[in-house]
Amino acid sequence: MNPYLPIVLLLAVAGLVCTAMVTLSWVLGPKKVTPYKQAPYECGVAPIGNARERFPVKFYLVAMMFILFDVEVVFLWSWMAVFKDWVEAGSPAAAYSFWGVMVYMALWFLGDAYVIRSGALEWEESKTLAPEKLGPVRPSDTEEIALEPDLARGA
Amino acid sequence: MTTVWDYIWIVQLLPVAGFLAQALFGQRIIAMFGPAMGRRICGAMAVVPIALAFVIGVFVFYKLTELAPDQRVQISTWFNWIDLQTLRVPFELRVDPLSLTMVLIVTGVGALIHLYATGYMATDRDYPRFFTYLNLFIAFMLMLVLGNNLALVFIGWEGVGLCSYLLIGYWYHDIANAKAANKAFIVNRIGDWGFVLGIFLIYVTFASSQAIVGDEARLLSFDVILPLAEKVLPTFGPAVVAAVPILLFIGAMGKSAQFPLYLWLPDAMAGPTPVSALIHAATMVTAGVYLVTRCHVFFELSPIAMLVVACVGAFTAIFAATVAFGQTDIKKVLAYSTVSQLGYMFLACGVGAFYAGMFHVTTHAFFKALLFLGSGAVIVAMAHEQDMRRYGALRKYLPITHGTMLIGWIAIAGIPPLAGFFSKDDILGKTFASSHYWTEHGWLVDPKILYAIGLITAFMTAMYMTRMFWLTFLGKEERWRESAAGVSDEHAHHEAHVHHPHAHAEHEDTHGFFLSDDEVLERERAEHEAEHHDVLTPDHQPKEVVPSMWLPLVALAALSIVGGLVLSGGYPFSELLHWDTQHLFRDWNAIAAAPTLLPAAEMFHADHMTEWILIGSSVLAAILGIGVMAFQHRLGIPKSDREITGLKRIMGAQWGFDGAMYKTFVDFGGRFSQGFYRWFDKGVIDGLFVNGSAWTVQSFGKLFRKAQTGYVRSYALTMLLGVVVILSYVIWKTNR
Amino acid sequence: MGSSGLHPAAIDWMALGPLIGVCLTGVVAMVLEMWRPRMNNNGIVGVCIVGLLVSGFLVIANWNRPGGESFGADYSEANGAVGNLGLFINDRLGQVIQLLIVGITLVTVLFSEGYLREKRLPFGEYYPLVLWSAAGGMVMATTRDLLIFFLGLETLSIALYVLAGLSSKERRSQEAALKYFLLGAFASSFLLYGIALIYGATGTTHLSGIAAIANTQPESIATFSVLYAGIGLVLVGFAFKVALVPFHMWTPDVYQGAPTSVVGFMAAGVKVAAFAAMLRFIDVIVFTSSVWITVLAALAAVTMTIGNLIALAQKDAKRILAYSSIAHAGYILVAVVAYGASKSGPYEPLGQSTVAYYLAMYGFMTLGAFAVLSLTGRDGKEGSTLEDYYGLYRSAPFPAAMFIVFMASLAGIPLTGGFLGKFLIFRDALSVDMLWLALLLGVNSVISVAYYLRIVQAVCTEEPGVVRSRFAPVNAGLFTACAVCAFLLIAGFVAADPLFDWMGLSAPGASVVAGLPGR
Repeated sequence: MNPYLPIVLLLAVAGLVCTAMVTLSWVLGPKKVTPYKQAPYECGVAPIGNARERFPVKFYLVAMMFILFDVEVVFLWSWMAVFKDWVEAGSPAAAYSFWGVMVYMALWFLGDAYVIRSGALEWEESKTLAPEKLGPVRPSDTEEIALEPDLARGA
Repeated sequence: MTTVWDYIWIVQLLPVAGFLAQALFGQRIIAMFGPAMGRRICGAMAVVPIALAFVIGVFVFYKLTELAPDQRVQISTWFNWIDLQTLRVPFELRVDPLSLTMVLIVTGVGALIHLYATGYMATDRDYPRFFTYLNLFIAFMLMLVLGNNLALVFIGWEGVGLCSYLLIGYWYHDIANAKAANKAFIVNRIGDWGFVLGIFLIYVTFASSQAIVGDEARLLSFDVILPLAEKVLPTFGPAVVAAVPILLFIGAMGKSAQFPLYLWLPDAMAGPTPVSALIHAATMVTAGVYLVTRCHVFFELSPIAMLVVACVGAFTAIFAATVAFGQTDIKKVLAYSTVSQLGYMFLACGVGAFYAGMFHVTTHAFFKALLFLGSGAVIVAMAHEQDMRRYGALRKYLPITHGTMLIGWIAIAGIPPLAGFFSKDDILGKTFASSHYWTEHGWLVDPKILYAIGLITAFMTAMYMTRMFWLTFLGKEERWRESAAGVSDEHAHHEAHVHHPHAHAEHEDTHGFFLSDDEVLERERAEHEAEHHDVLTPDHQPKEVVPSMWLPLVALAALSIVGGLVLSGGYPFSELLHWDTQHLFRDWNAIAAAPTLLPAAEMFHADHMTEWILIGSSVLAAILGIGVMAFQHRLGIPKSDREITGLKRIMGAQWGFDGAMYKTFVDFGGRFSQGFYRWFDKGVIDGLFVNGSAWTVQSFGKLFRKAQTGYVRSYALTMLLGVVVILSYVIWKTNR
Repeated sequence: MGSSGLHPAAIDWMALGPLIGVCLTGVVAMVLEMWRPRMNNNGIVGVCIVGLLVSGFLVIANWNRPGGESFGADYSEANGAVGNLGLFINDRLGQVIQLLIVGITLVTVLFSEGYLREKRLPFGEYYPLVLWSAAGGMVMATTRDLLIFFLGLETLSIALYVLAGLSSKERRSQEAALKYFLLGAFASSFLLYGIALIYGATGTTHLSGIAAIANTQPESIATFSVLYAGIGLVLVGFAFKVALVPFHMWTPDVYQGAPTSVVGFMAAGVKVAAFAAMLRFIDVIVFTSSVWITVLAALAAVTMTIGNLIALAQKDAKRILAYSSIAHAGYILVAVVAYGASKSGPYEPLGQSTVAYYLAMYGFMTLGAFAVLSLTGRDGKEGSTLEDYYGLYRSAPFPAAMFIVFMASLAGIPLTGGFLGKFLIFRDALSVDMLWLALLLGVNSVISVAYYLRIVQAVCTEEPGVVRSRFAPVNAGLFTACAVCAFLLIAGFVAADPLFDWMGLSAPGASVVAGLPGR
């Protein structure tokens, strides 16, 4: 006999009992539908507005950046754990990995600087394209230039 | 491992460089330096590369002569262009006496004509375009004569055809010029068809032959195929032996304007005169002769092909000579004369005297270029009037042109010791003496008949050239002062005959192949409006042309005087050029990679007495021809020339040949094609096959497009289905 | 983990040079943008061009150095499978593909700025994103470790997701970015799951390790379903990136919506990187070829056919080119299949040269075509229906003429690299006895001519009275980009032999067009 059989039996019985209770209460219980009962339950507080509310996109931006830098810090943690061993063992990898992490940190700071500089963390303002970026704009040539008459006719 | 032979690439690339420079910067230079100075710079840019190429060509030639005669075939390879297992076509140039002779003609005469053109075209709007085409032409012509394999020759062959087309239609605003260009292009296609088939046949036979040793794949290279032709071709039977040279000759007929494919050449005179001189007299039209000479081994293998070549050549020679009598346009006379002389060259090839043909190519390049350039000078001096009947007594106005044209005239007529005499006499002599060859193979055509045709042609050549020269330069009447009677007469004549059936042939004559009657009138109007910048008035005073135009004339005249003498054997100068006893034009059968199949020396044997009689008779024919014409013109322009009537008219209309060809191919062919197009192309091909299959495929496309709903969820579902199908298959397959 | 964990000496810095060069150029470009946000992008473009040229030079400097794995970490030595397994490999395929990606990026950068200004979205961040995406592609092409490959793929993709939505004011650009991102994430999950299954089956993610296990235990591995499923899921990841049917659905929507310069890069660069990686993967999984060759051949057949058929029914030039890129993915897959089949079957082994050559030609013809199509972007607007291109020939004759070259090449007309590429694929398919696939390729080529001609016709059509100012003026960058692409296509055809010699990826002893029926 398989030693795991009792566990399987236990699971089966538990599942059966749960299912039976829910089903039976649904089948046997009286059903009286009122609007109050239909309302979503929010810890006893009356619901306000639609649940499908839009959040400002800045919220996601900040959340994303949090995750980004959070993960970057986690990498540092794991590096520090082995760095100590390497230093104690006098491994050449210690100095080597140190400079590697320095480069990593530099890029990280650069990213940080970029985030701040580009205004991603400012809640109110959003960055718009500087007009200088467009270079010299053509004189208003939006009006349509017709082809030479002979070409227009010939085609 | 650069050798001296690699310098030939410089010769080849110089015109290319000139072409590129002219094409890319020509207009800018003119814009930058102003019309006068800019044109001078552009002109220099056009002339210098060709002249430089000539100098290098001479140097390479000199180096080649230092080799022993049997080593005078050198090949310079640049890179492998096409490299298949069964066919390798390298970019390789061949340096041997034959190709270098052509190179020196092309670059030497070409440089002179370029120089002349800087003067002739000086007032043209599209100055750089002209020289762009001209330099491009030289580049392709050099590729044609230098290429060591048929593929490169074909590139050059098509390239010169393209340039010829572009230059004939150079003044394309005039529809008639464009039509002339089209005619040249289309007629040449017939020849190219033959040439291409010939190349294919050569490839096929050599590729399936056992005679090729090792993994030699250069099956189009002359140094591979020519020596082996004797072994390879006969194994495929007499039909193939005859087909290869005849197909090649069809190509040569198109390019070299032999009957019946000569039709395009007279019309090609629509191009500027330097073009007529360079392309349609001195160089491109001799490409056919070059091709036949280069591939002479194939021809020598097949007596029937030789016979065809000789007969076509002889017939073209006499036919074109008769047509020349009926012409009033000075350039048309020279055009038919060119056709006739090309016939001579093929006659020489046909009787096996290839070197005589090439000799005539050379001398002809000198004097015919001279004649064309001279006629161009006359045309410029006479306000672009080309009708000889309105010339006369020009010798006192145009002394230099007159003097040089005089030399060209007696050179082509065959008066010793000018160039034409030597080459023409060589051809006639060889034709007469080739009996050995003919009897041995038992052919019915007696070479004596061909000789007679040649002699009569020589007589006629002297006659019509005298007529042309006399009408232009001699006499006392200055006919353009005669209240423009000739022209208005001619116009009246045309108008009167427009609805007349008899007039038909004549219209076809003057105006070619693709023109209807209405177009003829329109062309005349357009010619006067567009090309003839100013009108020849009775008080016109002809002036001698500028030095850049008469200098080339003088140089070519000098060549026409001494060229024949120097290049034929046994004279003091020939020893300078051929430092050994080997004769330049007699030894390339020996030095070409293949030994000749014909008995070179003995074949043409004739005793001393006969030789002198032959020389005497050809000189006599020339003098007689000149004399007869001089007698006829002693009192001024003959009546039959004032109005072209009678025999002259029939002759001038090419005996009705052009008209018949027009009727057959353009009228009837057009109708036939139209009908076929409506029924078969529109109905069956377009309707059933093309549109039917397209419709089917399109419907499937529309069906599949429905799957593209635009919803990400359905896209993801499709992906998932794909994964499920793939994985199910794989797992089923691995666990089977 | 011993003290030998990371060893400076084990790193071949020279081999990593091009990759570092491209990444660093991106960083410098970003710093420039951050430092002077109110300056126009000319400086950034200049830096990118210089950086890419240097990187390209570094690739060529690597050309004849001894190959091998660089940045080696012997972490899989613990498995006792093989010796030093590096994360990056310095071999000729990697170099060729790296050079190709650098070239594609360079051309993209050349024509982007003008287009972006016309579209009124010249964000300086565009350039670092393109460069980092290219760096991701270079990683994909030079690694033999599936995890590093995944890293490269994600670097490539995430940058592209952002770029696709660059024109955030346009709804279809937003849509493109979102669709691309969602489906891309979906495909990435398949890929990652596949890698996990392979790791579960073999204990390594390194291709050499997998190959070694396949060699040492051929019997047990050949029927191991987990491994097969893993390979299958990895291939699905590839299939999504190169847009094989039925993983292609995103392509037309994204190509139509994303900014045209991004699409050009996406079509050219991504395919190049993904197919190169696929080639490496196929190299290793030949032991399972009995299954995979069939599946891939079927995928290729379906992809070619469906791509071409739907393209016929399109009216939008960018969508047509999207389906064309799907069809071309099918063609290239035929070459990959032939390569794989030749390695596993009783055939003469084929080289990687066909795939590499076709990728090169395909990359430049597509990129060039999109460069020309970008001319409709003007004054912040852009149209891409066929009618929007009417009269292009007259207002921009040179790009239009080059466009005809690109279309001819895409359709496989001689004198262009596209023709030779297709011919070589055809020949490869024949040499492994896949006549049906070769014939299908031929039929599809014929069908494809129809829609390429439709675009050409639109470009050359002139409507009476049509305005000219719909097209942006041609700037030097676009001009150069078109000229470079067209030159490479024609040079690739004319000088195919020296090119193949130089690439050095052909099977030993093969010449370009050898293998024609002997005389």
